[in-house]
Amino acid sequence: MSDPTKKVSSIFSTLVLYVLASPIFALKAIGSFVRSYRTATLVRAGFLRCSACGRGNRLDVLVTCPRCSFAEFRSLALPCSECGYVPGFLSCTGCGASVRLP
Amino acid sequence: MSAVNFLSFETAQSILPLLTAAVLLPWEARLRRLTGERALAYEKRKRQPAELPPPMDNSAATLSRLDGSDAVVVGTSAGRPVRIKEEIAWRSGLFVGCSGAGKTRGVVGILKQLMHAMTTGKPCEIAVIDAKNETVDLIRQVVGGWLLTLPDAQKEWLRRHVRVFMFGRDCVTPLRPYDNLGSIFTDAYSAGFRTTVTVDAGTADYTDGTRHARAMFDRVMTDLRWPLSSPVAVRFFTDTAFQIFVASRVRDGHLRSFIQTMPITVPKGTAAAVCRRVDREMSDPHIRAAKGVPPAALDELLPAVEPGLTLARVGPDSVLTPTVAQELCLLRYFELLASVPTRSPKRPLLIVAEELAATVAGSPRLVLPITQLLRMSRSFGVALWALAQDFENAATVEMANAFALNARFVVAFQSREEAAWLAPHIPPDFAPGVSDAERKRAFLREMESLPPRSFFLWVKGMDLLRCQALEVPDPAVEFGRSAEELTEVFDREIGSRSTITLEKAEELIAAFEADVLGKRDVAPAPEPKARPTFSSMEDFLRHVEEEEEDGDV
Repeated sequence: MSDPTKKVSSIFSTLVLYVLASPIFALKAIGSFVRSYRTATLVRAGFLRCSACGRGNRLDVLVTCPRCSFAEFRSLALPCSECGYVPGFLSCTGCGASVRLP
Repeated sequence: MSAVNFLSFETAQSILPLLTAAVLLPWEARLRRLTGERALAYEKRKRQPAELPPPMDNSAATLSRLDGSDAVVVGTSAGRPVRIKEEIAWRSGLFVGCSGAGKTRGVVGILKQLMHAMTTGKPCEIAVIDAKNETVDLIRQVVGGWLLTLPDAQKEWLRRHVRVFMFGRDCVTPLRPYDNLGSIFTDAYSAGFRTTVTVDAGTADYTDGTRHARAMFDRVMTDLRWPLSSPVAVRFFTDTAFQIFVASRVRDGHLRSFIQTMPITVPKGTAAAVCRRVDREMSDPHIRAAKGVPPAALDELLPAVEPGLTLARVGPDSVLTPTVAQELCLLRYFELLASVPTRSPKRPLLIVAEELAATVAGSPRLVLPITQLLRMSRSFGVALWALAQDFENAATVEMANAFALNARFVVAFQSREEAAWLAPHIPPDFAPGVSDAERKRAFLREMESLPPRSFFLWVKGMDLLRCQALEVPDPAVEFGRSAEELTEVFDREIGSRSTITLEKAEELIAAFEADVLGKRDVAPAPEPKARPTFSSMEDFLRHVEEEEEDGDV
């Protein structure tokens, strides 16, 4: 096979792969968008209600990252500016139960 | 980079996240900025004391609810007198606060009103047990001043109804250590309790054998209604003929058996140890005068005092060592508790206990009776006012809980430790509109910074009141005489009816010992009157609970 033919077939196969993968990309994008929207809603609200005791837990505090110890004023739901760590849950200040973060 | 490479899957894998981030990053940055500002503002607010909203002014309503029949004035609140009706004042209460905050003067200011009412015929009794001497000394001056200024009828009431327990330089109040006549407890229990107090409060070590020998000796003396005597103790443990004489006089068969088998069951070393301890106890002339005079002689010597005001000055001083003071204090509590079942609720008794928690910490046996007394105080018409500096740390958990549950009111002067203990009981309207944590912090701050004579009054079921204690003038200023003169008047007119001189005591002790050890001629102990007797404190408390349930009290 000549070089131009090789190049065309390579481009064509890449495009085919894109078309085949596009639903997955779309699903991933939708999932990512939904997660981001939930996080943004939570961050804007500033508190997270515990399902066990109903107490509202403040999110906007001085946060010390448990992974890299970087301390900054931000929402607990946002990732650490230094290492990108995002906690999966926080402890309710009222009853101590773990409350999942989106 | 060629178009093919640009469009390769691997490149796409890395570019897509970058594209996503390029869209989301500004949005995230905006959120970070917003939440960062909010977090910073919150943290700054947390570090500043909360600005409390102005308290609701419920004081007028509270004052009118507290007022009632036979009310006593306990202080002022915003210039208005705080009057507490009798049904609250004559219930158990707690006065807490650090030294110098104004507890003693505050309590004496209230007691003056109650004592004055007693002199005009109000049927009630007050017993003050002072492990610091400060309260009783102040009351002695006040009563001394009254003996100079009040009308004759009231002066006569004071002479007949005021009694004092004290150890002066030249005189003491006889203690009658083995006089169980008229008590509701069996001789065995009373003697056992006395032995325990002597052993626990004393500095001498007691082995198991020594303690048992001492307990049996105390039981014999109680059975015979004899006083404590070192020569008698020595003869009792060493002289067989004397043992036979004593055995012929005791009523209790078990004691007779013990005496008869003493040469076998009590080793000489143990007997010697008990005699040494008794001798050490009686070597102090004041203790010998207090414990060594036979009750039979005291019955004739001292006039009968009708119930009224009893002052127990049982704090350590130049005459009383801390050990003896502790023993006297505990015995006084025991006597009062033992008298509770014989009381009529129509003649209420108020017990004012200075440093109760610290005293009871030295003898845990008192915890149960006192907590039960708190619980049943209304049934017997007995109220217990406890004054304490460091109640939370000194009191046992049981006693602290008993007071928290059963005290009708709490008077809290400036303190730190008690603020933390009281904070859970402060009603929510103390600082409305703030969180529990901020309310507690606000109360702690206020308690710590209370000026002298200021206090919080909390009557259960009512709002907290910030008050100022009564202005109690110095008795020397009030009556125009020095403190020493007023005390001398008290000691002369009232103390002399409750105390005997050391000289007289020695005379009576010598006569008793001559009769017992020499002539063996001493009157037998009178037969106790038939009445229910209890063999232990638990037995007594069970009986009281049953009576309460039956509604017989």
